Amino acid sequence: MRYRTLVGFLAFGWIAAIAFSGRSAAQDLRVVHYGGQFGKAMREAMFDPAEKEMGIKIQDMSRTDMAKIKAMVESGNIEWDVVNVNTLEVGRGQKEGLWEPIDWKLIDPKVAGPVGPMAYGVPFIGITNGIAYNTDKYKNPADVPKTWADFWNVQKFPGRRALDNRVRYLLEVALLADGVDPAKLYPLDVDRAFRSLERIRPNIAVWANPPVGGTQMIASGDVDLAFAVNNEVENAKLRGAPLGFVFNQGIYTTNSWVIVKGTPHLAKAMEFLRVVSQPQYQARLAELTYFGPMNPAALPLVSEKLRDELPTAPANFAGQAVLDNEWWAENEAAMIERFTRWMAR
Amino acid sequence: MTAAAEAERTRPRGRFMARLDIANLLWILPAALMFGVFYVGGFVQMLWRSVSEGGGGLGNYEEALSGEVYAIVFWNTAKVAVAVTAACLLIGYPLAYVMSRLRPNAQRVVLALVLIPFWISALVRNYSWIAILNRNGIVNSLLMLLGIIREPLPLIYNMTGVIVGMTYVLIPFMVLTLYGAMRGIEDVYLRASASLGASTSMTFRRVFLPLSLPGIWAGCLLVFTIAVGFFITPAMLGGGRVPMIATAIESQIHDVLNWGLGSALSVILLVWVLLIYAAFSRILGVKALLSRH
Repeated sequence: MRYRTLVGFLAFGWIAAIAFSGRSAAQDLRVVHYGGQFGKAMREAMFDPAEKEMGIKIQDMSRTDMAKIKAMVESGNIEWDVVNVNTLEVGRGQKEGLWEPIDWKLIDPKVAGPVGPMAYGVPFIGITNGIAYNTDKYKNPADVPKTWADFWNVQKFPGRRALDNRVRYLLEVALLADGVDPAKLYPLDVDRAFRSLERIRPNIAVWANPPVGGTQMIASGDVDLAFAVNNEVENAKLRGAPLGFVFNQGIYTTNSWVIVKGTPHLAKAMEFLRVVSQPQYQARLAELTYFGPMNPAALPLVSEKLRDELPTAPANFAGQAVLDNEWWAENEAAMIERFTRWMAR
Repeated sequence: MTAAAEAERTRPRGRFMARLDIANLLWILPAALMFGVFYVGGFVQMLWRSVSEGGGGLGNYEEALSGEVYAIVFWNTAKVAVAVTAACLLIGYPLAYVMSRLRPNAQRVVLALVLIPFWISALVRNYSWIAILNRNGIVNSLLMLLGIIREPLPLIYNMTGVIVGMTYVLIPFMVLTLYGAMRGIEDVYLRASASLGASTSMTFRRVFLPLSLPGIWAGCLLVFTIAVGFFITPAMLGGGRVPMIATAIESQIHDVLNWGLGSALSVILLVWVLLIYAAFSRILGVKALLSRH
């Protein structure tokens, strides 16, 4: 008898816990991001002000996972309302029917900046994937590699090197190193890119895990030069690591907000996207993260010193190649396979 | 409770011989539900996805089996798993041997030491290896300081790093399995061997080692099976050079949302492991694998 009572209590508690957790979550807007420093910065720059402006609670969680979203939409059990994704995933999710369409009558299309308003996503930050270097090793500005051709040139720029172990961005970088014009990258000449990668391959000490890997490898002294993301380099610099970053010939990508299909809070979610796209919040996020604000009206609000370090600053943006999300949404599966085969050889 | 029932309850063999009545079924229920819903249910769903998504039929299996890429990845996974299993056995066997011959109190201390890594997050353990093995890590710094090497050795971000990291994580599985088998080896046999004039090394080779064989096979099978599914250590310590099947499956599920192919690869991995298990049990008999004596 005693056991049965105990089991009964446990079962009751379990069911009650599930019921109540479901209830408390249902009143909030549930926003999902990539977590870490970035998540904390979003809380301060966007979620706190949005809570005040909208008079709601925002429950923010990490981390974004496309497989989870697909499972939610398939099962109809929607636990996330708004999600921060790599803009590449907007197209991929659209194909799978994972997003609600964006109502650009409610949100000013100008906030989408150079990317432009997308049917299913609101772009909000720009990111640069470029060359990072150890400033102790390359002291003179003349010694610093400034193009991917320089990165490939191991005689003129000696040093240990890291590239990412993810094929996305890597093919672009390899083609730039081979002399392709940044404006004429797409459609990518894949064979040429792999031939170019083959040339640098013996000189790559580490194939690092994105997005932090490249920066970590320089900070730990494992390599002197790396493919890295601009905000990670800035974060490491703040912690005192001897790092520098080159925007020239960087691969420019963006992150976007999407709304999960079937969310019970569609109107609230749309309003949230309008609120957080306002210039003052985007400017604050840029100051905290070194990601470039997408809304053109936000850039002038960022302090001048910091502005020059952002991917969307005109001088920095000019030398970059913009990643073609559609090309990658179409070809990434095949490229991952080819890259795995190439790497295993 | 009657005296007879009390006697029935406390009689050691009686408990194992209990019939599978309703009361006993109730005790099994939580485990059965757990396995039924989360394991069997999940597996059936995966099986269904592998033949229904991405074109349907056997297309996913054809893609997984015909292309060169997954053959390379499976082969690579097998190589790593075999190397890790061998390393675990080489390090784990002497440790388990000494442990099983210690006095009970000392045994408990060593057992705790073996188990401690189990309670530390895998992430922390992998980061520790990075700190130990990287270019400016403890090992390379020490060797350079002593003048043994001039350039740091590439101990990490390659196959070596992966094997070291995985061996460290999996050694407890090997040691515990061996220890269980070795504790069942009575001292009487060893004393009998010695009294018949066998040297210590001969007693070990002719008596102890053969008696511990089932433990060796069981430990190897356990470590190998876990090793083929490893994900985090190859990802962190492999420097992108050690493609494993778990990484390939993860990439299909999370990166490109191709659940059909991801499921097919998972099913192939499962069949592969089952075949190895079948081969082992065919050679040794399932009983040898399951028993501790």
